[in-house]
Amino acid sequence: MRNIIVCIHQVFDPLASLQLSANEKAVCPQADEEHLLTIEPSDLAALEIALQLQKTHQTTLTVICAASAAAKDDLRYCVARGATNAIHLLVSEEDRLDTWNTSLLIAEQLKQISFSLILCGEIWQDIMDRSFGPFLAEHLGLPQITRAEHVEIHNDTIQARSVCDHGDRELITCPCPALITIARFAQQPQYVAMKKRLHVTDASIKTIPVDEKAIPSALTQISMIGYPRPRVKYQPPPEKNLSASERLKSLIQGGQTKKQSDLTIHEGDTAVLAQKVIAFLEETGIISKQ
Amino acid sequence: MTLGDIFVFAEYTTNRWLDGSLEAIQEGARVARQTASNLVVITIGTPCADLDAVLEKQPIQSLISVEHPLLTTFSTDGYVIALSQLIEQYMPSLFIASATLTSQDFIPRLCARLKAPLVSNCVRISLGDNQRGFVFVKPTHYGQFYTTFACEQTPAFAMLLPGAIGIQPPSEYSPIQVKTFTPHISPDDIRTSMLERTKGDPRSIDIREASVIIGAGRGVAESDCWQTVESLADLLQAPIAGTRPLLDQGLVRRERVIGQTGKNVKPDVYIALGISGAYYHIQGINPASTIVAVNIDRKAPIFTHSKLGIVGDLRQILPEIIDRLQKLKRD
Ligand SMILES: Cc1cc2nc3c(=O)[nH]c(=O)nc-3n(C[C@H](O)[C@H](O)[C@H](O)COP(=O)(O)OP(=O)(O)OC[C@H]3O[C@@H](n4cnc5c(N)ncnc54)[C@H](O)[C@@H]3O)c2cc1C
Repeated sequence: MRNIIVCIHQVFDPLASLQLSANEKAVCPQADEEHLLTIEPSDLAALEIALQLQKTHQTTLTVICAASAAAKDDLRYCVARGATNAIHLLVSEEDRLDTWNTSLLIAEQLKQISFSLILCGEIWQDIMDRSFGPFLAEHLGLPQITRAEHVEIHNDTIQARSVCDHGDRELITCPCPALITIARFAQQPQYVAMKKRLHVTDASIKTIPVDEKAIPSALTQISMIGYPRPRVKYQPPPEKNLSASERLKSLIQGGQTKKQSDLTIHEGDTAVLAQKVIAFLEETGIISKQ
Repeated sequence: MTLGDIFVFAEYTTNRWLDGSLEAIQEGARVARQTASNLVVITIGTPCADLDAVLEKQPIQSLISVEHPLLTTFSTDGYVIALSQLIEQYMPSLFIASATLTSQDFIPRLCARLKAPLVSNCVRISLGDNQRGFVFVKPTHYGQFYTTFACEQTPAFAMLLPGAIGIQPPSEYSPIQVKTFTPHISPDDIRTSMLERTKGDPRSIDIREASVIIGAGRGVAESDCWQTVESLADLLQAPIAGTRPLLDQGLVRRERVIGQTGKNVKPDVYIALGISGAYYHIQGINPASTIVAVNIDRKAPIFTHSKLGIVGDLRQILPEIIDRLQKLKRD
């Protein structure tokens, strides 16, 4: 078992008050606030899982991040929490990295390091983007498992339990090295006392300045950021069999009060009523027909 | 101007197309009309023979069914290899999918392989300035802003935010031309394997993910039926959610309350027991869900939203239903 890598990313703090920059191509904090960035919560869940694996397998854990100088404190947190060391790919404040060029920058760095496993959060919540993990896995040619909530390593094989639709879980296995993205709620981040953070030496965080020219160009360009919702969601018009007041209600609620035109109401003998429910459950495939 | 085809990746469950995929088809059709290009629906895995009826009512010209024995179950590697071969052969200008958990797993990887631009969770797609490339709009910064992305490179990929566009009522369209595409995949290409799939524990899953939900209202609490409802939930393997009064009485947890101040749910079937159907509660149930209601009061508003209404006392009806379900299980 070799090194475990955890990729972290800074997202806007959900509580930060933001406003548009003058050119409407970026978002900045409101005048009296500091630039509020925080570690993506699913990355923190990935860090906690990595720390557990590190303990079990007596291995090293490296945290990597491509961000501006503001990320230094977050890397300190990770080292204080138990990571062996951290790599900070330092970009300037103006060089806004998106998922694509961040994944390329980190991939280039990781090609020089040996590792068994890469963990990262499943999503960049502020921009609702789940692309980073799969991008990085592809750049490095690694197998990937997404949205894992539990990870185990047996010899050179990884087993991960991952979250699927309808709350189902899948147990998936793949060979090492691999990339696993971790579900947001898999682990709770832990508090690290300020004293412990202050004890983190600069030597444990390796800073590598990234030249502006070395940043791969983005495949999509932001042309505008704005407030209004760009389109109205299609709502079914109210049904004709509704009364005037119900139609009005339906329009206000976005079609919610739609009356079921094929409603059947049953009253009477309990046994017959119960049978109606059973027949309905069979019809809808909730229980199988005998 | 004519661009390459517009591809839409559509997903289906055992018996229906995902709503998000139908939205993607309709958005694809809108862009195809703008660009005077063809709309092609892509499906992967087992062919969808008896599902065609739904698609016939959608504005599609053709469907490509990507088929291979190694694609019967999902694997990132399998899907990426299959679709990259398809895209390299047909070179569409735009590839749209709904941002489901499956597509968010493999589409970014597919884009990285093809070095193609991707915008995920977008709510609108249109043609770029001077008819070059495409423009995508998506909510960013926790939904505080909408960001417009432009990209000239094609094929461009977009994943649509499910539920953001809405589904238009179907109308009649011309017959679909169905083609089959067989990719070259070898078993060694697929590096992950699924050992087992377990159903989510109904007592702990997020109710927004459930396909069947049992809703309990004050009628359940007043008639002391809570335990009977739990037995029903165990038999149907469905989570129990409830109305606000049940939260106040400590019977359901906050994250299991449905309604304006609770969660918005979208089950296939919602079984409403002893629920009056107050506006604030109904607001949390997607109109596409089918509601079965049991209520002692024939005039309860819940019946106007239900497909099947049972007028009766829960104390008598529930044990009867449970008896029958147990009998069915034994047989
Ligand atoms: C601002 C605001 C926000 C709210 N948000 C929410 C929300 O998010 N979610 C929510 O649920 N509520 C919400 N409410 C409360 C909501 O208005 C209703 O009061 C609540 O939904 C009613 O719950 P109920 O149907 O369980 O109870 P009731 O309205 O009291 O209905 C109980 C039903 O049980 C039936 N019943 C009684 N005994 C039996 C029996 N033995 N067998 C069969 N049926 C029986 C009765 O006929 C009746 O129809 C909100 C209210 C406000 C003002």
